[in-house]
Amino acid sequence: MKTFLTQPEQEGPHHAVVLYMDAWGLREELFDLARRVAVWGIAAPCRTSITGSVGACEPRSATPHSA
Amino acid sequence: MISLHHLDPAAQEEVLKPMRSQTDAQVVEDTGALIRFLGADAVACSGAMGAIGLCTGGRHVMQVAGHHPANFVASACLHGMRLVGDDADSPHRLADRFRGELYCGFGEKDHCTPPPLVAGLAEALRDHAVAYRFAVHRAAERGHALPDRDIYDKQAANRDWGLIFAMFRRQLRP
Repeated sequence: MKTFLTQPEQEGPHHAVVLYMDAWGLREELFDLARRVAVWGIAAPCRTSITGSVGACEPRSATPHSA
Repeated sequence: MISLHHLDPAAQEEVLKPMRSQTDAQVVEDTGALIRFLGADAVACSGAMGAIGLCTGGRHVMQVAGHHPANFVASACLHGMRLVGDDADSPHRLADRFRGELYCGFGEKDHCTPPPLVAGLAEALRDHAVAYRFAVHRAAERGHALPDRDIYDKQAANRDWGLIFAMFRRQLRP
């Protein structure tokens, strides 16, 4: 599972918000929406479709960005 | 960028292919992994979480809210689809499991959510613990909240965001 994670610069902990994408796939348009949520004060991971191998879930290492 | 329903049918099918192979059960399972990941992350609070879903993600938001009720207390669907149906897994059937609040933003011109469906969802969610709010944005088309699309409706999207952040403030307290 590829996931984009963005978080506030302020010290946490913050509530998490998961952004469930549409059919188009992970892309900058969604990353911007995630940043919009994270700037407000909470972490906003954005999940992508598929794979099924949930054991390999390591969102932070996939595409790290800060808000 | 062009919106999905402005593509020709063959191109639409190409875009939708990955989505069609994805099941609700996979999304619920993946979300369980995400919750565990966040539980081990010092930056994230444990417990109360929010969710926002676009298009088919709107259905997924309701699925995870129903299957991970200990976590999702502030959920939002923007131009969601397949929210009410005859299928056994239709998310509206999870109404009694939802906690906190659920918000849905619909476009008035969205062919996937005609008025009877919008009314049917409100009816299904009435008399349950979840506080349900929705908005039908005048003249907005399917996909109105996607900022890079030809059908982006800034006024409708800003109203959605205002209502969503107000919900987060009520439900996701420090």
